[in-house]
Amino acid sequence: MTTQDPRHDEPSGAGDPLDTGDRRVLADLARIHGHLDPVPADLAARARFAVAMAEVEAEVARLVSTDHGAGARAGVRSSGAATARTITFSTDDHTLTLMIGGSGHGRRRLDGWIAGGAGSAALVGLRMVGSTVDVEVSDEGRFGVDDMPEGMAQVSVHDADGGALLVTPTFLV
Amino acid sequence: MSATLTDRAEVCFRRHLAGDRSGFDDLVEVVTPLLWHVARSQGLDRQLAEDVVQRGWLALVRKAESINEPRAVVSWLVTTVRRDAWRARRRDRPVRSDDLGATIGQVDPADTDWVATATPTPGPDAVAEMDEEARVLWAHVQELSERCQALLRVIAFSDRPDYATISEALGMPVGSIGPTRGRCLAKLRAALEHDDQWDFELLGGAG
Repeated sequence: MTTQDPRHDEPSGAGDPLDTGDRRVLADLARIHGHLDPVPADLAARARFAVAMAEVEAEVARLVSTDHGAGARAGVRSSGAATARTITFSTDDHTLTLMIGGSGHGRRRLDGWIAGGAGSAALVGLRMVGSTVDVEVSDEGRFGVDDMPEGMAQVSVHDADGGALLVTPTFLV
Repeated sequence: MSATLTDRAEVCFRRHLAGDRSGFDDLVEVVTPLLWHVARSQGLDRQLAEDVVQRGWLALVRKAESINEPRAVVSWLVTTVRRDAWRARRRDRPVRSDDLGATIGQVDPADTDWVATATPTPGPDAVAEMDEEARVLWAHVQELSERCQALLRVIAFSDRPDYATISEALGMPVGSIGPTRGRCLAKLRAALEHDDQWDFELLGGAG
């Protein structure tokens, strides 16, 4: 760490203690950003849900993209198509694609595809609020859950020995 | 003296380390808003920012034992989220070219204090619908460098005694803000003092 480098472009007043004017400016800034870009109301809840998963050694996959589907993009307002979407996560070794669609009456269907890792993925755990479902992964890396509730969910992918290959952050179904 | 965010986070984290399960949950509640503003100030869209904030928490679960000083947990989280946001942004827009076609922006976050950020520009109407004071201030804020805008955004959601550690975790040189006004805020103050629409007399007993 450098010590207090004298800066020739230091604006006047930079070394002054904060006064009431500064506090007012910062309070206004917090107010403006809070208005323009509020913290998502459920973000802390989603983070708490995510960290409650047991597989603490598994690599955390990164969100690559979310796509609200051709229907939503084209402005189609049919109830199923408008809420269908694709979420893609990745790690260095794997790419996980999740397609979430409606199955009516507030229930959801999830279809997934895991690529990479030389076909080592054997089992997928779908964790929801209050329940967890394990499904097998096909030889082509595909899996599906026909009927799941709306709400927070998290996926973990395991190899044939049960070792966790990756976990996702919480996403909303 | 009221407890700052760093104080409250330390208490929660110590409870977690002592085996109190609710300690971590409370920690998430206390620090998530700050981390959101860190991620967004680094130029991520809302979805990537949500992802990066969650990844920060998942990283802490994995690394909690390695943090020797519980008081440093906020700094650790801010640093982790800032660096992960940098990586996410680079992946999102992996190659940026200048006018001559040369690749720019390929710098390792560990080697640089800060990455020039494109603070997400909100809709022009969003501030226009706010009060006069907000509009005047926002016009001047947008004249600041992206680096200053990002710093002031995060500092605005921090408690004053925490400014030094949080600004350091943001990659600012030590002593550049700390207990003093700092360069970014000083520039903003100077601009406001030349603006007739900004009335410092309004302060009265504000602070």
